[in-house]
Amino acid sequence: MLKACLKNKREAQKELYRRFSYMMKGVCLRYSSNTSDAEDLLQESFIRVFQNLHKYKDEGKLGAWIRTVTLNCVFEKYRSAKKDKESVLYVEEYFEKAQELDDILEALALEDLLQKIQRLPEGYRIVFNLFAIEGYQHDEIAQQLGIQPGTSKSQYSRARALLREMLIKEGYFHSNTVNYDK
Amino acid sequence: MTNKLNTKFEDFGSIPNPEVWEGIEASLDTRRRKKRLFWIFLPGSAAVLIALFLVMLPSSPGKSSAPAKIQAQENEKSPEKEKDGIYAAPANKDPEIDFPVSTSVSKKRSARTVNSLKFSASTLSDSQTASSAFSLPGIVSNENGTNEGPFVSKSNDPENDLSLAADSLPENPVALLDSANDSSLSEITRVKTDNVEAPDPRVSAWAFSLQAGGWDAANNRNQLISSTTVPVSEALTDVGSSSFVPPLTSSNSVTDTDTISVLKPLSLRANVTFTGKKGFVYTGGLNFDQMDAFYNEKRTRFMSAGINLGFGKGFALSPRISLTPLVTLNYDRFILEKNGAPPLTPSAYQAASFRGNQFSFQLDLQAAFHLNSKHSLYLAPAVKYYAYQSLTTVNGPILRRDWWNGLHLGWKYNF
Repeated sequence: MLKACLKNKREAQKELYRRFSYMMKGVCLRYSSNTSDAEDLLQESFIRVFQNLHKYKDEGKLGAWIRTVTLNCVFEKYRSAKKDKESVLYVEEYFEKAQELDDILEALALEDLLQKIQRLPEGYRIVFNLFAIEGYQHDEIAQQLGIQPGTSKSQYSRARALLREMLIKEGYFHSNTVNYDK
Repeated sequence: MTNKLNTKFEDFGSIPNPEVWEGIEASLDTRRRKKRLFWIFLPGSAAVLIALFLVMLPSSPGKSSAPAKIQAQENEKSPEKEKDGIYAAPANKDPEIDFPVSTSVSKKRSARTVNSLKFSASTLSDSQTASSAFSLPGIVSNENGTNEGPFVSKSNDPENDLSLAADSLPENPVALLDSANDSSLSEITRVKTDNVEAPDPRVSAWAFSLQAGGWDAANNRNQLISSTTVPVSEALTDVGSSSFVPPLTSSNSVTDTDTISVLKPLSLRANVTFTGKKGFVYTGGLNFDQMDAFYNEKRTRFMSAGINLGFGKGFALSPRISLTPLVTLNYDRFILEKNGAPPLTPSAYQAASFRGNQFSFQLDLQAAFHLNSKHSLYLAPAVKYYAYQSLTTVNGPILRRDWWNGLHLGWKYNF
């Protein structure tokens, strides 16, 4: 199938898309604020996959490679958007009940958690996804997004604070309120 | 938390909207189209630019070869002139110098000026100043071919002559002489003594050529541009094969979106060519093509024969190399179809995929190397736009079209 894709055979390309689009849309949904943006990202990712398929070496799983291409799209989009607006950094500590938040997030229904992640501002959402779900370190995230490691840490903290605030509003927490004004 | 959230999202996914794939497909098509256009227009533009350059060039080295030859012949017929030292050119000894267009002097002065410039070194004496030696009274018309002064104009327009003469006044005639003596004279001698056997493509001649080469489809997809709907039974009858088998059924038909993959025809052409005035080329002859079509990864071989008529213009780049852009119209007919080529034909269906007539418009750029006055070899990259009749669907005969890129090698024999 890969060989046929490399020869631009449309049927093979469609088959590859059919096999991986379900999973990749899940990834895109996590990095986007809504379904429409997620599908735009998915489309862009697959176009790039087909354009760069010759670079794929048959060493790892194709799914993992496609996921990397998708994440690269996310990074690129973030970097280009970052140029247009000045990042305002808030390096501050939030006194949160860390373990309690983790427990609640893990216990949340998948769709519910996804909805909350999607409501995060773009930068927070990307850092949270990369750190908490993909398993990237802050140094790696900073390198990929072209930001300082401290910024990555603070954005992750703010993402958690925002998630916590959402959960408080929904009655999961009954403790102190966090000011997350940007 | 990382691992747990990772696990939570591990199998998470969602079915995308069908429009996503349509968007991807459209983007890939656009990219492919751009790529194809690039490869069509790049050589095309290069050919046009080269042709324009050659047409616009006022005095190319190739053009100078014919007059040089003629002048050399005149030298042989005019011993008097040679005796007078007009054409013989040993440096520093000849008092009189003729500047043909092709000399290196033309780099310093305009071709028009140098062409009309003749002056006698002997008329320069030490006592004479440059201005007096090149004074206007010395300029006369040269209708009779006589040299009556330091400047000789071949024009009949005295007013133009004056301006030409004024233009042609060298700022430092001695320096001009010096430069002429060393480099340009040796160049003149070389040009005149060359025995140029290769034919000038601008000289009228008849030739016969044989050409072989290959084509590659510019894209994999044939595009439907018209169709006629006929019943399946009629289509089968038209094919004329009792062994006609599926997939040609009403429920499993080939449509214009199906891919008939790369067509790679081998091409033979035998032509007679006439080169007329100013290098205009008229050509006509026979085509023979063998074509492999790949459908569903299986190969089917077809053969076609036809005629071609072409028109172009030849340009001499050097005495041995010429360039001839040619526009050709081809008419071909598939002569082996249906079951015509077993066992290579996988089925009657595929063999019936091409039939009938094919018209094409072709642009060739023949780069020829003239071995001698009789034989030439040439390389001809080409692009071809064609339309052909095809019977691949239950809709009956349809017209398809496509671009091909080609490369041909040819041998030409001048009568």
